[in-house]
Amino acid sequence: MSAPTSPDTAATPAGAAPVVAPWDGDDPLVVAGTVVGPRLVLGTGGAPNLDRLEDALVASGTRLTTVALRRVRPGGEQSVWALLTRLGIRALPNTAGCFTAREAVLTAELGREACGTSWVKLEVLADDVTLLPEPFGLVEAADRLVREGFTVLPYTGDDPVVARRLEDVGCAAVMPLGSPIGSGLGILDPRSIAAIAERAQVPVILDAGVGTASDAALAMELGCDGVLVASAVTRAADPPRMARAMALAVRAGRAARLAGRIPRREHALASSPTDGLVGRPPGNLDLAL
Amino acid sequence: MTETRTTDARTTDTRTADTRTADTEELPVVAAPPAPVVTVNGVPQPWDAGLTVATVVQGLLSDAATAPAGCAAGTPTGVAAALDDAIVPRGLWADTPVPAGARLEVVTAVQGG
Repeated sequence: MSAPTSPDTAATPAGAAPVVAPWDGDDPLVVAGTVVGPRLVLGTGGAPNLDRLEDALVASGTRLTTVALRRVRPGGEQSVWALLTRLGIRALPNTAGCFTAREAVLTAELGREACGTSWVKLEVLADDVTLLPEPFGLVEAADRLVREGFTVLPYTGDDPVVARRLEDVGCAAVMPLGSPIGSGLGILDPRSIAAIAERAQVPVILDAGVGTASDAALAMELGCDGVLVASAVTRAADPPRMARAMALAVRAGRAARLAGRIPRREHALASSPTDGLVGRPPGNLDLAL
Repeated sequence: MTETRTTDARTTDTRTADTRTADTEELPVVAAPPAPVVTVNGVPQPWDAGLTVATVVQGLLSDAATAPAGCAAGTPTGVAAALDDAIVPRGLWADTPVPAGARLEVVTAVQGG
């Protein structure tokens, strides 16, 4: 892998000057050799309107955000595309709502054309109730899209074996769920997420299930390289405030991971000196030495 | 049922009653050839020989409040088109005719994920 390049601006056309909070460039998320930006990735789904979304995006400091592809409707809603262009935030088109590999491949191709980026958040869902990833169609679609030159970031379950298969077919990252989309249940199986992160040679971005800031911090502590959050911010009572909380949590979790946590113990371990205690016979010092 | 004018109850073939009202009901119905249509985002609309992907997309976008960025240049970004499940690159829209009976999907980026 070559050295990281600066982010290409293909997905943020029109040379828009970024107006999101300045980013210090420290410890960036790097995917496929491209510096993405801060390790918090925001999804745009769930915001009641574009104004609220803009506030949340700016507060989060993110440089990468997901968009969905839908039919142009006469008299349709305001364009999120224009907003992202203005903010200078890279769009990551997804294949949300696709239930087969075929649908997902076509949607990814439309996203590449519409957004001018070969990056795709690949989703192949099993059904519209659980919204869980369908691993067979997912791996098939990922394989196909990688061969078409896409940079594929697949949304997957927390199964380490599926994550490995996705990496095998050439995905640029893996994005395991913490819990079902929109559930806010956090990370249901931390050991699986840790196992995925430990083995992966590509970035691991926790996707789906984050409910509050501690969930995002935990993901980073478990070894994830980034966190993707949508509903937890856009549907919070105060989205910009939650966006800032998530950004702080991701940085805190990352710092804690790098700092190296203490091992868990079954019993207490005093942190104060155990010798020289008042009212005890002398001699302990000698024993301790 | 055509009115039977004869009083002869045994005559049930109405065609013998009055040749002026000879029954056409038994003739097969031959409909006028259907006007050719194209299906744009699931909605049928009239087809004509001059349709290109560019004209259809422009027609859609002029109706849409979305009016994505870059529309002024005539090559809107944030929008993609697929003709019968094959992506048509933006640069080819103007030169790609839309055949009668075709399905055209025109999509744009929206909030999601």
